[in-house]
Amino acid sequence: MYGMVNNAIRSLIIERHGSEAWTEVCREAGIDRGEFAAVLPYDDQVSLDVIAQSAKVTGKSVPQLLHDIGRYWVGFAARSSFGPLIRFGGARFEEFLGNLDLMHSKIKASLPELAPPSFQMEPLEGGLVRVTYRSTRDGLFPFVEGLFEGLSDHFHQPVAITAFEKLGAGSARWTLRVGAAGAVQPAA
Amino acid sequence: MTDDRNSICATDVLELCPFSFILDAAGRIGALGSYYARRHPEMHGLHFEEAFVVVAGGARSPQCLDNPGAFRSSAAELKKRVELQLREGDGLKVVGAFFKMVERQSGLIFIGTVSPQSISQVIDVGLTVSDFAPFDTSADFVMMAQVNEAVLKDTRRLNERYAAARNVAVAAHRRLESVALVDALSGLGNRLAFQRALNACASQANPQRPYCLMLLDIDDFKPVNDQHGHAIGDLLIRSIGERMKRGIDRNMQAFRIGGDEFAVLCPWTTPEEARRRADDVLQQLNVPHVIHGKTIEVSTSVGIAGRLPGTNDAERLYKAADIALYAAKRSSSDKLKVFTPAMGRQELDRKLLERDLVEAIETRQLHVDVQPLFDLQTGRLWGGEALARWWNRRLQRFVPPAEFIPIAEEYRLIAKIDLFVLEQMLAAQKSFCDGSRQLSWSTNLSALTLGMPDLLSRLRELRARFGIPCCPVELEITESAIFPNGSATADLLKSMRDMKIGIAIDDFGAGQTSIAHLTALPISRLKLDRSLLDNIDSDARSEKIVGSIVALARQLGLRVTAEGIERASQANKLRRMGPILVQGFHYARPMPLPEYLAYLRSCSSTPSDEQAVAS
Repeated sequence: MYGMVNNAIRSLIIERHGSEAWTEVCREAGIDRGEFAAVLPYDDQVSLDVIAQSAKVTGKSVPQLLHDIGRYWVGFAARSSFGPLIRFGGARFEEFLGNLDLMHSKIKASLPELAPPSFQMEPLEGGLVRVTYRSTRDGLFPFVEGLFEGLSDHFHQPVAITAFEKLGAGSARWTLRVGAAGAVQPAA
Repeated sequence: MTDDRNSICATDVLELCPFSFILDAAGRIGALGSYYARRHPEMHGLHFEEAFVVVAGGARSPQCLDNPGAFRSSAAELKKRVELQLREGDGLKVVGAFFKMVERQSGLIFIGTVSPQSISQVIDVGLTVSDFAPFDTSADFVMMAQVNEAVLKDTRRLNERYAAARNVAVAAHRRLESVALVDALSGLGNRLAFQRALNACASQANPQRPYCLMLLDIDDFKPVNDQHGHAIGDLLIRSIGERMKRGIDRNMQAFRIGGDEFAVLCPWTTPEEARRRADDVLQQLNVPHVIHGKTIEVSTSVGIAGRLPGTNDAERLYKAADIALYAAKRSSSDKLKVFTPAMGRQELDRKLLERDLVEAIETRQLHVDVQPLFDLQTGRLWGGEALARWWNRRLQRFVPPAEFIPIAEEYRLIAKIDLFVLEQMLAAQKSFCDGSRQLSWSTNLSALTLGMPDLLSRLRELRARFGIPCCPVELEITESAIFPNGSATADLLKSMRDMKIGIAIDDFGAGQTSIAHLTALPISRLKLDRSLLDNIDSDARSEKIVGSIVALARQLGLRVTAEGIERASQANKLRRMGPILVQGFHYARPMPLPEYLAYLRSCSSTPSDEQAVAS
């Protein structure tokens, strides 16, 4: 994964649990760097070790932590150099998610080692949307659900998961009820 | 006549192209594409010119727009690139072209997209990728530009961080380097700093500008450590370093390049100026150093070399200064020498002599002379001292021991010489061993040989080859070789005694003998230094000193040898002191070993062997 992902985890841990917790994570994960270069690729195992040790240090389960990271990720990315791109991705939850594959394909041109997941959007009746997620990485479903919440926060739209179906190791399908923009007040 | 090639279905366009709008025959804005409909619905109904400014392009002709009837006649203007900007609003520049519409006879449709010049504004005005037609590469362009900008930002941040880290590392490296270049003890530059400075000086020196190198060596620094301990020795070095700093000019640099070796690099300095400056430094250094209440005097040797003609070779300059330094060290009177070509030749001669000596040892060209020793009281032969002698084939002359022994010591060849002589001596005593007379044999053993870790095993080898000596065998060792090394030497000497090898202290009285050692060590004989004996026949004080030593030795059960006896008057003074062995030209010069053996065989019971030889 690119260093930006690891930096998001680092930022989350420091923000919520303090820099000492992050130091402990680094020590336990056997990494000597406290910070990562956002646009350089790192071995996935580094991220997995960091996540596992972060869960241990924060007293959370790995899925819980992945969920937190997914939710945190959107805001982190929006504050990063990629923030304008997030804005260009869409003004609404479903618009953004629908454009994500396109955006990832453009990002990949500059970050060739990017292995992004795919999100296919399918509008259903009754204000529902179906999101089909496919990834080369297994076990990140909690992250995706956190991502939905992060996007919900970002676009101030209520999002509720009404159905979940696992399709394979790195694939799943969610049915979401997405509310209108403005239905969720931005956090103070 | 309508040109269908310029016609397009307006409904489809408005749906697909967010930056499109329709102008009616009066030039008023009608239906809008999605972007304009969403963000600027107020445009609807406005005249084109009320809403837009034509920034550039082929269809900017107002007449064309003011007179829709002209559209038909100005078909050439259609489809030409035009760039528009809203008079009020988002500031975006939109580039596109006007087209006729298939379903209408009048009016035009504008199809455009964001101008590349507006890319940076696209996101600021709230456009998203959904605002672009699916086939509009402008959206791709925006995304690519944004991604690259983001990557660039992070790369720049990364570079800045690396640069900051590098600056920290460079600063740390410089700090470390400055530490690495300073000798902690003296506070002067160390050898590494010296090498760098010398190389820099040599490489940058203008041929017209003189510069000099001064090398200084503290004479006999080791005894200071031995006598006062290394802590005092260290403080002495510090004191020397401080005085050197004070003694040199501001443009000179002083370094400590070895234990007791210092260097001063003197840019823009002639050898004469360097000599004057070295005199000042020597005056400073020769003032006694008072360290922890102890007064320590040191003497210093200095060698100076100026830039050699026609060369900026740092190594040659160092070598020249080194040659001058060694000339100063070897000199007892002039401790400051400036390199001269003659010195270089002397050094060359010395090098050749060293090479010859190595060859002579390897090919056993050395031979042995023996100088007899006599019992002064009886006049009888007591024994002989075996001495190394060297006939140099290249030079076709004998090289005096005073010339080749220092070279042998300097180049660690002396042990081979000592063992060669000892071997020759043991072989000789064995050949002469008839049991009739117990004549003593002795030879010198240098400090370096005494320090050989395998000396005892070498001696055992010789004993195995020649058997236990039938005559007394002694090794003559100088005071300075025996006394500083404490218990290790004592054990070694006791082992030698157990092998029936006696120990004589050579040059006794010239060094720093501890009387206590005379009883603690297995010593059999004292050999008085000739400096004590030179004036014994004319100086009452010398006579008293020698008399006291002889008396003390007698009390301790030690024999005494007086060497260098050249006059009868010396012998007469000694004779009054009691039993003494004598050796010197007055009695017998050293003679080749075969000659000595012949002499031994010839003098069996003559009343006075000494007379026999002297005659």
